[in-house]
Amino acid sequence: MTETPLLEVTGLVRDYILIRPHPFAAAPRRRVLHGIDLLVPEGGSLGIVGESGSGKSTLARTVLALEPPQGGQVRLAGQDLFALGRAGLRAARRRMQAVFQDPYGSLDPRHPVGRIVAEPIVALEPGTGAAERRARVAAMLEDVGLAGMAGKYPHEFSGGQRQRIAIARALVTRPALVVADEPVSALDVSVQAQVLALMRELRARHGLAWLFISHDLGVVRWITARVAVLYRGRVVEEGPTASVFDAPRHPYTQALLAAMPRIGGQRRRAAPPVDADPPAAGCAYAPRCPRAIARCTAERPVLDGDGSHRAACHLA
Amino acid sequence: MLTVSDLSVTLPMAGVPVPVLSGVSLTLPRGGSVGLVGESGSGKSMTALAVMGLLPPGARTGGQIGFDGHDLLAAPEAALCALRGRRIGMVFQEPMTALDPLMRIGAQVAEPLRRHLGLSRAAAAARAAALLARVGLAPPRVTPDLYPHQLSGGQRQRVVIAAALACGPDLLIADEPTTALDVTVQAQVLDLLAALTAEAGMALLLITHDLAVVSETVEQVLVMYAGRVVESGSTAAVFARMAHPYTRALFAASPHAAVGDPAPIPGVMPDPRARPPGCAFAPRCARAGGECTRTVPPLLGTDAHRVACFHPHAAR
Repeated sequence: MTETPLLEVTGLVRDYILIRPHPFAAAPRRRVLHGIDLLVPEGGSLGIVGESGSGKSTLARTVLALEPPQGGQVRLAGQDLFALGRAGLRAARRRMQAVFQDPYGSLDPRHPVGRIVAEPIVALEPGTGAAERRARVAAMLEDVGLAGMAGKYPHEFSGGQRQRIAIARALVTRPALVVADEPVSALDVSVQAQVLALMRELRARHGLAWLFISHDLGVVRWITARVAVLYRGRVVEEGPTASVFDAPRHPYTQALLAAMPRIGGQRRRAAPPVDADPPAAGCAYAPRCPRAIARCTAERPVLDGDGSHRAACHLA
Repeated sequence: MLTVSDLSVTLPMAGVPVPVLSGVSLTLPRGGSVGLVGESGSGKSMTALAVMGLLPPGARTGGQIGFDGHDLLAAPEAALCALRGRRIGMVFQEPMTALDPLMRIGAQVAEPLRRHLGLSRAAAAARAAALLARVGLAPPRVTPDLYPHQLSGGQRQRVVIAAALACGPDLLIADEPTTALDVTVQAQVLDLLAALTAEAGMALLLITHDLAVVSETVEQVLVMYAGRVVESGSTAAVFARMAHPYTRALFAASPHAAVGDPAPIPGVMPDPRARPPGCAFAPRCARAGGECTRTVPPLLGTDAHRVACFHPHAAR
């Protein structure tokens, strides 16, 4: 690990401003990220798992500097993204790219693939000549197994191929970090396996770091070295993937793993409800937690544990 | 109650008739459950559309679909309209597009009650509220006067399920009902479907690409590939043996199933316009021999377990 981590997120807070209940009222706020701390080393991989509403996608958007946080910092190779000006942010974006969930919505249907993949070069490296741009796009398309397809349009490709195009577009500026928000959730299992294998191969070949966001624990288990479990905008467990999956400490992680479908498995245990509002004090998971004690509703647990595997639970 | 025998469907593609389903047979007793699994393009959704009488225009069909004494393929549109939503409910994959964004959720669930059962506005609204509560959408968190955009993906999918169940159908067709959902919500929705088949004696036709979901939820399974059933039988028997190489390949590609790394299935599903003369899976199959490329293997075996392969795997 290098001295400065590639991505360092400290105390990240994000509020969404809701609509005013009536014209003269103050706009209510909903806090979706309550002080998130994360580290991704150069060439590392961190998975973020959690249910809808846990703040996974908000975290991705904030890390990508698409949304400003209300507090905390996102540092990419030591640089605070939100202290940078427009030009500085543009330079930082070259080192940080994104792959989103929907391979149908994220590619412009009216542009040929060559132009789609070239776009980050055009936008972020304006001095690049046309010949070099074409060469890099061709090399990138070859990397993702779509050699010679630069003239085709998105509708001529399958879902898995489109996601490869999105990956090629993300990697064409040779970023150090790729933030992937549910990159394979919309794909068939067999195609999913192909795209995941490609992502792993590219990571090894280009020394990329991934921040991989998914609700699919099976996928995260396979692709990332470390995993952070998010619940209601807080990291409740963090550690090496194998350790978190084989010996989960937080009851929420245990519930997530129990809810995962298994072949030849027993019927699932009924999942606890997800619709209750979190309490103002104590552990946000306490209302759903089968093991909650009095202390859980009074005092908020902090992320704690031995070595590199930590959990935020009084009972862990 | 539902008997599909030797169903074939031909669709015109660029003016040329192309077979998309061939020789599909299945039997679903009252209160039973059948799962259809396969990749995109395997014909699983087309089978469901055929049962619903919702095939694209220009489709030619062969064989029979018997539902409680009616032949659905021969039935006039008016008769199908009386069945759809009344005795056959359907849940589609995309809860965002299945709901009307301009209609309150209570009204959407009440619509089939008013149309099919002729309930009064007030009676339908009361029933709709009860149905929403049944799928876990109860006040104060969710009230029937909310609009779809105010709900999460899992909540919307539960609204779609409530609407599909409104008239107490004898058969529910669920096409990838949980693919867009989190594991915990997925577990909740699957538990709900299982409870309804058990309590109400409703039959369930579940379509999914996730073998693990099928393995936990249904009694019988049909594995489809390129428009044909390649393996079928009781869920326990099929998963115990996984005789067809395609079933094993799907299993190996599933991040939930595989013990090691998920293995992509090499190659792609053949274009329906250019299917190979023999077994459609032969070009991707490591076990394929000479006769596999010449003759379509027949689906042989007993009701408990059938397989269409010249070189099936022995028990695992």
